[in-house]
Amino acid sequence: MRDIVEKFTQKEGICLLALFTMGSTLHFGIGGEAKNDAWLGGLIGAFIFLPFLLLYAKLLNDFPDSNIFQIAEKVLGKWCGKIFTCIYILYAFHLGGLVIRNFSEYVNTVAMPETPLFIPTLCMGLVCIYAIRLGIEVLGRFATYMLFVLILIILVVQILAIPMFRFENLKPFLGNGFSPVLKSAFSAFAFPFAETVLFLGVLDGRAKNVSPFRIYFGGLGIAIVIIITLTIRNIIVLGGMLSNYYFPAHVAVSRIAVGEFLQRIELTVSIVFLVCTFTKISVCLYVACKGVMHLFNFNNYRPFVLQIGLLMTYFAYTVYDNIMEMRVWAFKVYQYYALPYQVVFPIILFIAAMIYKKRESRKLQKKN
Amino acid sequence: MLLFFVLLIYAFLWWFDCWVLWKNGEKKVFAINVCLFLISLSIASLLALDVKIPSPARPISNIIEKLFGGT
Repeated sequence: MRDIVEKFTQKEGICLLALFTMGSTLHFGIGGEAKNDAWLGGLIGAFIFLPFLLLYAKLLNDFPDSNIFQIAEKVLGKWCGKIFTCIYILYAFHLGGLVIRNFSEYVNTVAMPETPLFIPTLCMGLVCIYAIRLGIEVLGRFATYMLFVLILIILVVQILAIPMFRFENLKPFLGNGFSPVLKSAFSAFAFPFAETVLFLGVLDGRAKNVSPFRIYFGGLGIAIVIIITLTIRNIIVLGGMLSNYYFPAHVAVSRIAVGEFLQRIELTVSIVFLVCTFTKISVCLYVACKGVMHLFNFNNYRPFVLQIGLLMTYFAYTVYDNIMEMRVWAFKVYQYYALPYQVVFPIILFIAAMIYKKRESRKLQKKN
Repeated sequence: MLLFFVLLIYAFLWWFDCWVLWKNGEKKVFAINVCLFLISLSIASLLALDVKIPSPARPISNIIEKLFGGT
């Protein structure tokens, strides 16, 4: 079997990371619990994430050309590394399934209520399988083109929404105290910012001389600006009703009507959502397949894409009974569930990597 | 009827995805792929027969609720 060499540029990496982070967050919104202070929760969440961003990027910087699975095997030993690989395969698989379900619930709720849920689920699953079979480079190029289109769409929609802005909806500032804001910050930290831990399995494919710090800072910077801007837009359009909707962005944009000739532009929101979720699911599928590849010491992940993608699709279909359960999971359970994958295991890996590095440099000194 | 379609699609997938690996002599990859194929086929068949597959979401929620209190 031929070895696969896939490289993507810094620009592609940044765009991929930005789209991944925006993922399903643009539709769910962040920090629903904080209501009109949700934007502050998002900002604090991003700020809390900063040290972890540095940790993830440092790991990739210290081990160029290695991904999380290879780093784990190097620094933790073969068997602990394999267990670590299994853990992250599970996380990537689970997250991919959850995002597919977010997408299919969105389609089912706003566009095709009579269509069986399995149809949009399978369609999205198949498109992602096809994309990942083509390779991560293709996804990188897709992200580069689409990010600018999405920014344009978001800007136009934002301008059209100006007549509906009610800035008094932002008040009272911290009306319910600081506790809901902190809760929403924790929620925003786990979903979506710290989900970028999965990029530890992607960024080994970056071209030479491309710093992971730049990719992380660039991608997250774009994503944070867009997410916070859209959160503020949703608050000043919908006010206190924000947390009552499953998809607040869709509702906020559906209210835009310029005279009689420009209406129903929520379709543009659907395009944004489609592109972002497609990217996120594809990255999750890619990381899961790469994990399986490293677990069994193969040199190509492509033979597993179809079966793992189908399994992910079936998982997405069976994971929740209804949209209510999905929402409760996303805002109340997920942050606790994801904590070990996003915080505990990376810290363990980072400490082990530091010890490994010291040991290696001592060995080198002795040789010299 | 639905089960028949599922089996038909999986017969095509076998030829498209697994058989190629066997023909190329990649036996280890083939073995792993067949395992994944069988799991995938079993779940698809169960779904076609309208059997409810338990979700891990509820046990995870219960564990988290026990660990962190009422979420």
